[in-house]
Amino acid sequence: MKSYIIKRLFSLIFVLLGVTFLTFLVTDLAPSDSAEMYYLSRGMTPSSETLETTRKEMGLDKPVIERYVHWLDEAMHGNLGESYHYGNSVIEQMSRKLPNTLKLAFLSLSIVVVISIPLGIFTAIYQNRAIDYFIRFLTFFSISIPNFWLGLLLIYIFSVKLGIFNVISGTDLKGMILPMITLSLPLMGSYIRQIRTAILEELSKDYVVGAVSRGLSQWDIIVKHVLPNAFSSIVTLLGLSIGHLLGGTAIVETIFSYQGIGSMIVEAIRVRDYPIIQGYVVWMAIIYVFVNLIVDLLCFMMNPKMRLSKGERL
Amino acid sequence: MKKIKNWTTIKIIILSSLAGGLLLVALFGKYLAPYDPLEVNYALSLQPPSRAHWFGTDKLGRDILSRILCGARSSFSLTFIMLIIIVFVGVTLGLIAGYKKGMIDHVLMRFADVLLAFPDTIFAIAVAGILGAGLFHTVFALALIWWTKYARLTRTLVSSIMHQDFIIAAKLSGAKPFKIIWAYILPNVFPQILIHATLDIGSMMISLAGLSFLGLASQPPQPEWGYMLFESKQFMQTAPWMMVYPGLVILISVIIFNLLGDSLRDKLDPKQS
Repeated sequence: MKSYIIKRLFSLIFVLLGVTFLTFLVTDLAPSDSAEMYYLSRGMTPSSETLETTRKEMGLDKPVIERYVHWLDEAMHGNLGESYHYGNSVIEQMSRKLPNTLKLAFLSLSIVVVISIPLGIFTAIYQNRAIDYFIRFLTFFSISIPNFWLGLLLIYIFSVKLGIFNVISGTDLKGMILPMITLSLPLMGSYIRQIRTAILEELSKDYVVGAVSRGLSQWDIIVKHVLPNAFSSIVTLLGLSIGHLLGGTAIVETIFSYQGIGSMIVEAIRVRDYPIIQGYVVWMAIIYVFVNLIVDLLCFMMNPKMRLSKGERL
Repeated sequence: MKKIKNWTTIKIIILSSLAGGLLLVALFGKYLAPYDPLEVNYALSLQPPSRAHWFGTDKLGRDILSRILCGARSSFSLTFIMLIIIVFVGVTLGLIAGYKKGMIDHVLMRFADVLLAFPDTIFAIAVAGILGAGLFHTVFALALIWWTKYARLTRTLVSSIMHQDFIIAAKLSGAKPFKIIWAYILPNVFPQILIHATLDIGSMMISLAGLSFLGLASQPPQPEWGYMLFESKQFMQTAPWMMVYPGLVILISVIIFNLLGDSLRDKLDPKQS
């Protein structure tokens, strides 16, 4: 167990280094110049000499590797640089907006879990009956609908036509309802389908047949035997969708003008605020990797068999 | 059982003709369009749907139906160019990794791990954002992440057949690695890859349209569905038709390709469904 955690922490560091370096490299490929953007975002047009000195100050005349090591050193000491656009430090800017996004993502995921686990089990039990077909038909729509379009439709119906919500969402619970629906609905479809498949797979196994022949009630079989066994695939699914959810917030927050890091990054990209983009990437990578570490540990604790089958996972 | 099989075949035929129809529209949309999609006419600004303009007009008086028909071309060609790049790169590297094993395999898979450990949308937004708005940048950003999925899939499929007798027999009879991969391994892994590729078309379309909805992909005035939705946002109160129709065509296209992928899976790989 201990060696497994240590190994995972090592791979985590490796992943973080890889991701940040890759973003650094891409920034280096960018056609626009950081020094120039620094002035332009402040509304100044710099002369070529000022640009030259600023470039030197920012270290832009040095090779990428050297700048990356410097940036890494600063990042280790909790300094992710200063935003060109917002004027304050990246850490400050992030910590102001991140809680809103985490709140939105967490509540959306809770809705998804609360609705799709029962529905997934339900459709598995009533496999190939009318209700199963009906729910699967709905899940099909939910996975095919583009979330940005769904968001626009919801704003049009509930804000413009019915006037129930504001067009610009606040960060209180009422303001979060429409963004939450937009984020969770497309995920629900794929959850219900995958939970259904996982449960069906368990249901076809010998131990279930054994339990049925021993006369256990259907409820007991599902809750006591099938669910614990399907647990790891459900939790793995949760971990994987964190990425989808965090990425989705960028689009959803932009549509609803919700004050989180999702709408912030889109704005930062528009004005080429590189320090913010870098900081955002680092934070997202940390959150994503840690959530998946926790997920793996949970699965690991629930199921000792994982130790053997770790090698060939798709 | 036989009845089910026939039904699946019929479904595949119907859905592939629908998909083919969409592709034809994408190719020849320019000739089907009743108006010039780029023609600006302020007198016709924000007209609701009517007999002359079935889907209404936008702020510059351009016909929405014509813009959707012409926009199909960029939406579909981008999706397919991306799909071809991803599948080609992913499958080639996956075949090499699965066949050769050892060092190459190790390096490739660790690299794929790094990329996979990262939310694709976020990475694509960052890359497209840093490199600047543009169709090519968006495709590049998404392709950079998604090839890993096919590389891993192919590698797993290859490793699962490497120890089978026919491969060993081929090796013993002195067939060259390229011949073994081309003639024996590829045909065995291809159906699985085809299923995954078809199922991915929908989500690729959504991702691409999503990025151009954020204003990161398309260069106006060339019509593209995601960008049309982006433009529609500010006219939501006065011209809701501007957002309804482009979204609807994305939804319909995604549904058709998802259904096609599902039916292909039922047909080619019954135990998975």
